[in-house]
Amino acid sequence: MLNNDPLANILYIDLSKRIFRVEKRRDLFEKYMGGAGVAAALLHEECPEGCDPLGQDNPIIFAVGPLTALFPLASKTVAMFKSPLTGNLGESHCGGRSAVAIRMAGYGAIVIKGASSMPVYLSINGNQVYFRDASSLWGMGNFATGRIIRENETGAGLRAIMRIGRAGENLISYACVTSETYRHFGRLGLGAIFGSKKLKALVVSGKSSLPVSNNKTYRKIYDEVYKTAVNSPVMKKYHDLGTAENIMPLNDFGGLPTRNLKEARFEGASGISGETFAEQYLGRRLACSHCPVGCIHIAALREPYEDEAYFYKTSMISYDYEPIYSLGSMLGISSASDFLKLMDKVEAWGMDAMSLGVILAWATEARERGLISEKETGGGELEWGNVEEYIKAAGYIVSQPNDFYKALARGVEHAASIYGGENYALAFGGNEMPGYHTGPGAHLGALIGARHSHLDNGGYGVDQKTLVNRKMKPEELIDTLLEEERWRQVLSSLVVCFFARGIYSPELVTRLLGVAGFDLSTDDLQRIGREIHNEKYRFKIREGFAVDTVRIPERIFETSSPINWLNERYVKEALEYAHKNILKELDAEH
Amino acid sequence: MGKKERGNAVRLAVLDTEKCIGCQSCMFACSRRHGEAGLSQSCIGVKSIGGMERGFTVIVCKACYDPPCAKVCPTQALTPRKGGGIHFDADKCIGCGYCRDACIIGAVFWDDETNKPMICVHCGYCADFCPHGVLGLQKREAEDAEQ
Repeated sequence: MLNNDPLANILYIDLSKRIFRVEKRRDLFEKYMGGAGVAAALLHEECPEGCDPLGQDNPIIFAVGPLTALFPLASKTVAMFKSPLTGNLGESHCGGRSAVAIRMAGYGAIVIKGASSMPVYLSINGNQVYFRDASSLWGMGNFATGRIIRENETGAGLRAIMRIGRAGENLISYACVTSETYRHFGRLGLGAIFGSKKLKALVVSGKSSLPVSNNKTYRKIYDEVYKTAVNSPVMKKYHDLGTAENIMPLNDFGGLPTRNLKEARFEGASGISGETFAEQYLGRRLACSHCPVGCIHIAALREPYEDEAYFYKTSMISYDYEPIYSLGSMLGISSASDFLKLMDKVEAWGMDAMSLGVILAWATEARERGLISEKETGGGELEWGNVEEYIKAAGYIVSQPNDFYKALARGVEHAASIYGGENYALAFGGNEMPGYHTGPGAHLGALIGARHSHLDNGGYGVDQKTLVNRKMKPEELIDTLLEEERWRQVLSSLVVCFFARGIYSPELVTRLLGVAGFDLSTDDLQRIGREIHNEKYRFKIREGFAVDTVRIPERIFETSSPINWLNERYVKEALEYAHKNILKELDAEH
Repeated sequence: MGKKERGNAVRLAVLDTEKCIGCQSCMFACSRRHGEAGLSQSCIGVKSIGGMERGFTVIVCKACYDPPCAKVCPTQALTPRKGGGIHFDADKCIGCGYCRDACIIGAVFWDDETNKPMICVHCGYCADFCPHGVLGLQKREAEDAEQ
């Protein structure tokens, strides 16, 4: 990397003592470039073995990469922590202005440790760090918190405002951190860790310069990347209808999880399709910093006042495929406006929409089957498609009036361990399932993925592109998934948006890195990808995870998927092979 | 200033802020045009109107015909330019910052390193990187071009 690149600066903040320091860590960035790689290394350094995810020792680590603010589409921030949902590796990625703001403030990573005794928010502007009293913000939702901090801090247009809602304050295991109102560190409960540290928000801003190895080459390659980002057919989906475009094709394919995956086709899919949202509700398009694609779709929901005629309010609510699946088809909700009403509340409280939907779906089925009664639900109905009841139940999860909602606040696996119904508690590695019942690729991908996310290795894509045409042996499928996941470690270390994975080929990446002063070949990149994957798995194993013993919810075999040979034996064989493959890689490194 | 003097001047214009998606590609382009990666040399700013859900405002020199920034410059470092906008002579600038205060749209950006203003020269480079035609170069031909 270049000598004067501020990327090497890591800002360490101690919330207990209210002190901070900056350390140059060229070693980490030279080795892993940034993002996921650097964050994984820092997690090993900072997170004590077996620590309580909600204790003050659990660090919050944010990392960006060398291409951030240099090239388009490298605008994700990687967060790493020990997850309160899974008790293991926590990793989530957020766009918005977060990555560019951290980089422009002069940092490659931020590490937050300790816990405050009273609510605070952090304000980071270049080399200044302020610990601000957030007592008056405590109890407020995502929207209001953002509005108040916006008015109180400088750096408009150059800042990210990451914050939690009541779900984070109340330590819901899948509370999210929201940035720029509509982007999230969504998965695995970073919001609860913010809450446990009494950290309501973090605002970061800056406006610095970055060094490049050759200015002329820089401008030339930039133009090339920009043109591809704007014109390439691989970006079209995100550019047009957005990820919500997937609803109809997945439904036609028979892979859209519906009513807790009792079915994989939803008769009401067209009511919540990308086309319906675009035609009836799409009110604005937004982009992350330094991304001309602008995939963020915001719906305008116009509702009359309950008690007065000719008075209306208009709420702006973001939508994407995953929340539409989890709070839509998974709950039998077939009306776009019903989905938006629920989504709006979930956003204000600050919960991972994906986990919440899967949990409510499990609870609905458990109620149907009589595992829980009105005593547990507190008189709530929990009934497919009944949005008012779901809003009520989600609110109870936040306020936790009884043991049942306390259990739901800790995830579906935990709730099922108390009330039963584990075979239809749809979580992989403790993380609630993503919206793909496409076949073995999707489920194995989520089972072996280091963060149990569909984006770890894109297994759903293997189902739709390959397995639908030909069968793969378990070994071949696992090799395919692991190879993809190892490559994605490179992208997430450069914090390139996974939506741009079609553009950022290994060859292009080496050229872009050259501009940032990294002399790496495509072979080097593959090696670094493997090393980072190993680094994550070392942490997972240290904290007690093993691929060959991961719980498999039987429901995925009971409901037929488009790949009709999906069965338990295949999945178990594949997991055993994955286990060996991962251990072999770890051994080979020593 | 007479009508004739304005003929054929080409100036950057914000054509439709409502179409801005806030990607800030223009800001990065402006810095690159000044030979820097990052944002410190950018003479254009994009920020939300109190939250992204309400859209964005694009802040850049509008090439006033009678620019307030030049009027308050005590050293004639800033002088009006034919066809609108200003010339900046860095050698004459003492970094007093009056220009920044005088520009009520906030289009006088500041270089903290040199302690001098940075103001758009209307080259149009940023417009090439606007994915939605929010920015564009416009010919100024008539008196009523000033809005």
